[in-house]
Amino acid sequence: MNTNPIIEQLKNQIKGFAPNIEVEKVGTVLEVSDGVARVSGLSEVKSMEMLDFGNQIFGVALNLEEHAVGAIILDDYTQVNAGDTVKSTGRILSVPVGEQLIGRVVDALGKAKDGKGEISSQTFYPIEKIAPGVITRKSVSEPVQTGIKAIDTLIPIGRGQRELIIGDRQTGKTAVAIDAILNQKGQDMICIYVAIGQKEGKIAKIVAELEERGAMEYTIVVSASASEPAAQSFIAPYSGCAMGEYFMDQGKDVLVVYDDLSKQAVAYREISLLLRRPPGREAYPGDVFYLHSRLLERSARLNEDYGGGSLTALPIIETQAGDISAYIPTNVISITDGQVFLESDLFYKGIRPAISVGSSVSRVGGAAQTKATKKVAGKLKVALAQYRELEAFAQFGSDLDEATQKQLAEGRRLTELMKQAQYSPISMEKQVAILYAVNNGYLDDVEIEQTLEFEKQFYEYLETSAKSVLEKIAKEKALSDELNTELDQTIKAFKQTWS
Amino acid sequence: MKYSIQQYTTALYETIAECKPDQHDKVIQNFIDILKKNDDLHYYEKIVEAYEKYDKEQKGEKDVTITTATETKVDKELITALNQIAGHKANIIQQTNPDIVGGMVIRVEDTLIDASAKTQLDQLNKQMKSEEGKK
Repeated sequence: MNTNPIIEQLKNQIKGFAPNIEVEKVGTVLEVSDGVARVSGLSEVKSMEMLDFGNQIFGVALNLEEHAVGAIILDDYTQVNAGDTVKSTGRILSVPVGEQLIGRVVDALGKAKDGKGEISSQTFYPIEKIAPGVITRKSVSEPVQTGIKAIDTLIPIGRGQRELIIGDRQTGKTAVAIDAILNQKGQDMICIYVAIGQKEGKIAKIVAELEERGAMEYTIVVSASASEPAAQSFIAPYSGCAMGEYFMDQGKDVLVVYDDLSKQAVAYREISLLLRRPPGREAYPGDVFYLHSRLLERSARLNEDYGGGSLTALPIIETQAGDISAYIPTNVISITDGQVFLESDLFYKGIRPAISVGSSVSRVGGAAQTKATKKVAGKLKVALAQYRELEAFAQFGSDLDEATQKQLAEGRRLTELMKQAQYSPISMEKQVAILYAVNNGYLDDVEIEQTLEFEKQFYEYLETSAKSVLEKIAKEKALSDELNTELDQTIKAFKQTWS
Repeated sequence: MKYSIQQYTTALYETIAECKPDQHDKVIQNFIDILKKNDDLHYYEKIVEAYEKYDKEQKGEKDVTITTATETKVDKELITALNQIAGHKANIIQQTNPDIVGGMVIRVEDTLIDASAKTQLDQLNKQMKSEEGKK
């Protein structure tokens, strides 16, 4: 009979069960208000410890006061009543980490949100961790290829760097970050996209896009949407970072996008005010700087003795009417290793991605650029800087001398070349090839409006007829004299076909 | 200046402890006058509550809540054991809650000793589920 063994097994399990008598520290809810609770008792609770409010509702102890504990409630706080018993769990707030999370959409506590079943990871990482120290680190030396021409050439990002993406609403901040994730396919990088306080619809769209382009195979999406309690928005970046740290500790390279940290600051302000912490500038609490600095400090490039992993951070900040001197933007600018500044003016002019080359910088990424890119980008930087200086004169048109006119045309051509459609990352080899062409004057006789068409056909030509050149650039990552002549020949051959 | 409930309670308690029993009525009368003057009479009930709690704390008395599923008489042995745990005098409050199925739950201030059948069944449930997961 089939049932007998099952019954036997059950019996054995029940026999082998040794019940524990649990001794726990408990407290009583004194008051509950929007997302926060004050709890009496809990004599041995630690800061950032998880609290069990019963009914699968958890909270975190934030304020340890003389007579009570101030806690944030991570789930639906309307189900918590005054007088309820609260148990301390003895666990510092932690999230599941590991390979199982890859390809999944999870909430700020690492619980599945995509309906693809529970996540059964046995490894947990605390969400707050002290950043790696000096001895464990190494300076940035390898590039993150974002696949965006303007970034990879002018504002390069290295593995382990923190590069801020900043701009007004609707300027393409998320698009830049998503493109960077898409381009990591086959680059041995694990990506984590942390959506903070965003619309569920936007998150769904992003996940669908990542799935369609095969990027979910190496991506984790941590989502704390606008409809969830502020506490989730507050902890989501730390959870995402903890998930990334696991892979960094395994010696892998990780890219984390925090989209966006201004909403996290707003969520933290809400929590702080409800917990009656004193407000400061713009009503943010005094430690709002530390809120971001302790998160972004956790990005690192570890040296070989510590596994050689890295965690690159792309935090996003939304400005109001282009004001980068507001409180939160200045804070985050000062913490990060540079910023990609997106301007709405450029966006409406049709320059997309709307990266303002003048105000964007990368403080450490240059060291990580490949030799080939560095060589072709050097000329580009100078030419664009000169163009910006001369741009004011552009309206005089034909009254200018020939040299100036030439410089203006060159600037316009390069600006045109920096344009790039969304979801179409370009590999390093192709970027080097097209920039080599433009630097050496091969595009001078091409109409400026035709530049992008030229670029497109050039890539097609390279793919079909000159694959060996691309492979050589990818392999050598530098432009030798030999490769230069080969490139010259290829471009000349292509121009024969171009009309 | 505004005083908190805790401040009122401590002040009242210490004043009463310092003076002779025949003066207590006067102290309380004065206390109520002060409350009136400060427009804090609405605190009265909360102060009484806090006072009782503070009194117990000072005397080392501890409230021990024993919850059982059905109404049962508490063993003497248990009471002596609880008195030992509680240090001084255990002030036993009995409750019934059918939700815990069997066994008992004892709470001494913020320590909870959970020996209920419900928790143990939950543990069994969890253990069997996790073993299922392993297979």
